[in-house]
Amino acid sequence: MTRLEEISLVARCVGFDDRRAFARLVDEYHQPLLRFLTGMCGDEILAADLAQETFIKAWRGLKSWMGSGRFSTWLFAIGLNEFRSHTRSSHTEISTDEITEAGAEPLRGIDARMDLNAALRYLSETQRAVVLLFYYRDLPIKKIASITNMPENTVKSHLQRARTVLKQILQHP
Amino acid sequence: MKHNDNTDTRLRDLFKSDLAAGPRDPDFTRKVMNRLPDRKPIGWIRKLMTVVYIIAAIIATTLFVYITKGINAETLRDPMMLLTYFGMLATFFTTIALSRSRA
Repeated sequence: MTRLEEISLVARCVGFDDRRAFARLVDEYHQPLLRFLTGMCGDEILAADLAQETFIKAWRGLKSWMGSGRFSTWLFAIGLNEFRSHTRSSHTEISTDEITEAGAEPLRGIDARMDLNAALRYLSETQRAVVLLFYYRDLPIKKIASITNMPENTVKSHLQRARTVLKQILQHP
Repeated sequence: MKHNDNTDTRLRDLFKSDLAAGPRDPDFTRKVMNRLPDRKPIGWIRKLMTVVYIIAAIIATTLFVYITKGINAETLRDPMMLLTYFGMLATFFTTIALSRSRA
């Protein structure tokens, strides 16, 4: 979907309360958002709930999307905030910062066939968001910084640390 | 740098292949659409505004046609007249659009 199409669809939603236009946006972006959130929380059912909430919040806030960036970037930022709100309220996140800071030690003995979701659990919430946006969505650092609300250098540093951890998982079965 | 590039390529391939087989829900869009807030009913002031705008647009169009003696080849050759005509049409459609928009 081109940026012009996105702007046109959002204009129809805001100006005419056109729900078919919004349905097209949902159709277009729900799959990547769902996968991103599944990567973030490791739970498909929870990811689906969070994705629904994300779209409903997006609908309510459509007027605030100025069309300066891509709709998907704005949507992913809402999705990430939704995930962060959920983890804050449920206190389910286990901090793995200490593990990743310590280096390869905790990664010994990890099964070679461990899937990506399991590997992502060794990253902190922020590192997970950064690697998913960088490797899965192919977003540039600048956009990732805008979504995660962090300076570009911080994003780079998170990416570097996450890359090291993931590399160790891949190389040390 | 090359070292990082290799790792990046491997990780990118892994992410793409693994996440491509992620969850699929054919009813997802329908579920979201069902959860959207209800449409706001159009208030009587907005209805009245629409009627007034439509009447005003009809009067303006009638006057325009009466003054310019209709739209003919001569009228269309005059750029200012043409601009006025399109301006009126744009105003008319914008008015309709605004009257139908959300409060």
